[in-house]
Amino acid sequence: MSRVYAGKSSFPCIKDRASVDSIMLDVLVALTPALVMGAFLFGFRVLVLAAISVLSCMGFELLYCKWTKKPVTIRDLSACVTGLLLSMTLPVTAPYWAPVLGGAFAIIVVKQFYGGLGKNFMNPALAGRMLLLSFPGMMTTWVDALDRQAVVGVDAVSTATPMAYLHLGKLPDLTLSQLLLGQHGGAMGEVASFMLLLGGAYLLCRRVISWRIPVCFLGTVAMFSFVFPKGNDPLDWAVCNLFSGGLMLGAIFMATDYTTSPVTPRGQILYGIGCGCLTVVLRSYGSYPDGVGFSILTMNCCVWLLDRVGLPRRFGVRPLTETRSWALGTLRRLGKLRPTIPERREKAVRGTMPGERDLDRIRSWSKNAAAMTAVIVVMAICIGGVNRATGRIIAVRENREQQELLEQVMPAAQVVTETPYMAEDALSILAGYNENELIGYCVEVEVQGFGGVVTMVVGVDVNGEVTGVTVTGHSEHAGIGGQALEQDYLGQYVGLSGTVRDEGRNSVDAISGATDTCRAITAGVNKALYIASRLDAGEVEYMDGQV
Amino acid sequence: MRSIIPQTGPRLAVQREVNTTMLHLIFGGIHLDGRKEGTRRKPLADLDVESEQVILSLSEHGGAACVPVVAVGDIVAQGQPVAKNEQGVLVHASVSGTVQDIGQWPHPRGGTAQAVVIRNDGKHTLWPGCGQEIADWNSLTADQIIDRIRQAGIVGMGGGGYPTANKLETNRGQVDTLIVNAAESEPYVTADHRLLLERSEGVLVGLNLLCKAVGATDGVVAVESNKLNAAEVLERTAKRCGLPGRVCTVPSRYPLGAEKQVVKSVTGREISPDRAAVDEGCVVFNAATAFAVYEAVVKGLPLTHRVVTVTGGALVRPRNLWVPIGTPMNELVKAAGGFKEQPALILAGGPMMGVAQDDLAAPVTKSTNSLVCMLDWELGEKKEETVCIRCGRCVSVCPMHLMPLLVDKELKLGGDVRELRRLHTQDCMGCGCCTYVCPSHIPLVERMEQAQQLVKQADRKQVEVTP
Amino acid sequence: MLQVIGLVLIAILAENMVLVRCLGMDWPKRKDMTEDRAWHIGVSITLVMVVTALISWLVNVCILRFFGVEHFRVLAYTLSVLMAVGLLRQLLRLFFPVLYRHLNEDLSQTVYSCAVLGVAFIITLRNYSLPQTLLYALASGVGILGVLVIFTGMQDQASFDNCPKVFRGLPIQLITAGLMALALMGFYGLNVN
Repeated sequence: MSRVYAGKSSFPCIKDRASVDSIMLDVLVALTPALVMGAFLFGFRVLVLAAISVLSCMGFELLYCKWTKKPVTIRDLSACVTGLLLSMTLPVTAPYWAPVLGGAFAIIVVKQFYGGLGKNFMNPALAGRMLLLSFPGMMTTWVDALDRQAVVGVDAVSTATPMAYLHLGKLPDLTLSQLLLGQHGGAMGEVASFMLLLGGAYLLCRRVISWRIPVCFLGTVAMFSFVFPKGNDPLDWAVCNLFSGGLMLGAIFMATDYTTSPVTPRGQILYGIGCGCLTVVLRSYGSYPDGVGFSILTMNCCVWLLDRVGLPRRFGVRPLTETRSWALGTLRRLGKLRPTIPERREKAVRGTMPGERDLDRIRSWSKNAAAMTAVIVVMAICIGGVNRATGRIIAVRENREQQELLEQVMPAAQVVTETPYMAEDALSILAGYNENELIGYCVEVEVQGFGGVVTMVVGVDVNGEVTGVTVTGHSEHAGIGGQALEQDYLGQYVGLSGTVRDEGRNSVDAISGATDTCRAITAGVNKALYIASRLDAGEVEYMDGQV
Repeated sequence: MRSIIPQTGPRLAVQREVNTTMLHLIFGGIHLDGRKEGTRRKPLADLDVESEQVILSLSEHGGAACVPVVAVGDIVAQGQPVAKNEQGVLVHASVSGTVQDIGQWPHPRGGTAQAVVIRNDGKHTLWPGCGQEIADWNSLTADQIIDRIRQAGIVGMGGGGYPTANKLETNRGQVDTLIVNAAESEPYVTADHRLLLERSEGVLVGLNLLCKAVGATDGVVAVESNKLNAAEVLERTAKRCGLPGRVCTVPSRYPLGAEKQVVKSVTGREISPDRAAVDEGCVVFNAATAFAVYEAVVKGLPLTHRVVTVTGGALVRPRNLWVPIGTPMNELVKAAGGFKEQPALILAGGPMMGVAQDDLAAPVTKSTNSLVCMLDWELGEKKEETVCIRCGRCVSVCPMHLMPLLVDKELKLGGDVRELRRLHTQDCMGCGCCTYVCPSHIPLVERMEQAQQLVKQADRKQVEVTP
Repeated sequence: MLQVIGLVLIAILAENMVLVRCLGMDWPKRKDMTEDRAWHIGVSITLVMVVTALISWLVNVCILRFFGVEHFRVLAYTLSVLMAVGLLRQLLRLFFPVLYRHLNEDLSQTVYSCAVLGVAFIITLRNYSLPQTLLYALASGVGILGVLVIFTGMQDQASFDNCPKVFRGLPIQLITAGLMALALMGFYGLNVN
């Protein structure tokens, strides 16, 4: 007998044929249709990018294992899967160093630093992609389908993806079959929704993934977009939301990553629902058009909590027993925090008079208090003194700043005074005069830009034309929206009136890569124009207050 | 839902509608390749050549070992009691012949055990005390039935080995459902299947006798859904003979033949941890036990023979055999045509929970239902254990709702007993589903056993500390 | 209603004190950071934040703006933090002794937390009304509590000792915090309107 098992050790003696590398191979097979479709739509460059990504991920894992003298683990193909997934989230115009950088970050920092396969808490491919998102120009140059790119040298005509349309609240002009087959702009592997669904079906049949996460994720997104549509047709909106952006890839391949998703069935359902909710929030209210990646990453941080909440019910114990006992325990613990009425303890200590301890306490406390009061007084005097001394200088500087502002915004005016007008959307309305003649109004408005609120001052003359625009406060990234804040761009607004549109007549050339910021500034200018036009018509509130 | 049934009172012999229905959902379990094609169509047969000796183990009943009542050299008849213990458990001679030896002989569970060895004289002389048939078994009282079962030395033939008469007495009046478990979810084994197909009337009569003995109102035969022909045969027999009894189909996933899972599948009730089936008003018996009860009560025959499936890729002719208890395993192999190749592993029981045999001299006991001789290719490669990838398959297949991967992680971190208690390692029944599915080849059943040991040690220390 | 939800979401996700604004990171990064400790620190910071926000809002409106002495703002807000902590300690000691026992040392630690002062300044910068102030302070505190609890829980799941020796201890914890901040990057500029 070649193997003798004595007694009852090492049972069972038959085993399922699955092993880690066979599971990873199944995932690779499931991703292939989408990759091939991407290559058909976007050119051979897709395959080259994918190959570079896979090879670099495997290379970094090999290097790390050799460097830390650990056993080499590239045989389990998990680095291949990471590389392929990372490449599928890139646009075809991405430079070749992008997947290498993303792969290095994903494999070395996100995966290996925490112990390698099975021990990381965040999805490596998604984290790598998010790192690359900090080069936003590179990651947001989308090319239309069937505009096949050469392997060397990218000649991209950028186009708006369906996600961009949805972000603005409009439906993209695509039929269902175009959406499914991927005949639109987008990332290499994310466009072909039908192929991704095929891959997902393959994984479900092979029992590699469980149905819970994809169904709950997609179902939540579908339900929310059906119930709260932006537009007239809820079904169309829901369908478009489901099949655009990285939702299919994220729900079927990224969210179901073993290590970073819950192991308990109930935890998986909660995870899918949580991802769906966050995706909907990000898609509706966030700055980035597609929030799938960020929502998955955020839920990855909470997986340990979901596992704890979703612990399976013990066999034989009635459902909700654990929940009930936990709730009772928490209530009991909170009940211990009942307020108590303080008692005045008048313990007479031998040798002292009643109340003497209080006096002692006040005496010691007063020493500290005196020291602190002294410090505060000294600091107040210093601050007050400095303020007095520099007050004049500060006032002069403020004046000068205002003059500069004025020169930018309303060159024809010499003096600017505050007006008692207050409009709902304007922070302040100033009037510009040139020798007692009203030139126009400078309206300070706030708009929501890409990274936060943008405060700008728009000068509108009495004819309703813009005399100048300047931005006084923003939280845009220097790379993303920075260009839109320069005078080169803002100067385009001078002379426009009425309503400034995004394209066509009465429009401004937007800067590609900063579309959100440009749109925000246009909205601000429109707001200011509207307010200024209403001033004369008397629809603005007149507040008698301090001028 | 449970009702206390009075012990006395007529058994309702109403013609009931027999239905084969799948009932309550069960979480967990794995779809195994049954590997039953080798023997599922082979009818029960006797040994071609009778074995020269039978080895009757005296200590498989749980409780005190039986003491022989015969001596070396005595001539015994088939069915004669040769050993008994104070609780009234009996061991009968399964062949007629001479008592050759009383001593330590191999036991299929490993090691040796006290046994009575009888040399077969081939005459099949029946002991005059047995063989008294009773035609009208319906008129027997519960006490009479239990008495006859005790006299026949019947024990749980599905592996438990607990004396059936004692089980009936302790559960009397406290159950309303009696389940005959013919699920047989282990691969390779077809013993109960063939029993149902060929001896269906016996099984149904046995079911009714057991119901009457314990006072249950509902008798169910639980059959796996891959044995639907057996379910059909049972239905037809029940209609033909006018026997009450219900056939219920359980899903054909391993290990849904375990007691807790069968009870849940048939009645929907979950047995609480640390409790027994009787607390939910159910009691479960093996199909072979039910048939033995029929033989004992109606035919008056003690427990001397049982069905054994002899199968596996190493045998020339896998088959199902009706053998005397105590037949050495090498006789079974001979009856199956011998080895065409040297097997890599020989098991008594199935490949999931069976016991490996390295010595074919061990005999068939009352609870041995199969002998599986597997070759290398049937076992699959032995692979190295790697790191846990948190795939969660073990959680999704555990029929007891446990989390083996967390137990493994806890043990690697040092084995905090409080955490292990929180993970309910005591509920593990050792079915092996988790090890079967683990893609990292981690021996999870061993880890669970280790964890159980740690918790037991800690409990013992606690008991010692608290006076 | 939507505005309330929006403000809460922004305070917890888009402008999380710890991960996005990088304030208030002076919690113990030692190995004995257990979940209980995380809850204590989080709850005490939340309480102090709410009370400080309230006091500083009142100070701003009633004293600083009224008398036109806005240049004393830093001093006034620092004092309001101290006042808030002192007030809370006394209140807890008198009325909630159990809570006081748990939170005493953490309350004292929050004096050094820049998150508390930061909330006061943000409220002033954005001219929030009183209900908005309280809501924002509460939500910011909850955000800090959430990050602490999640970070502590993650220490159980992902052991931080598997990295190269150079990175063990504080570096890997910072890397983890950075990865969590990367996850929250998508919420920048969240605007619920």
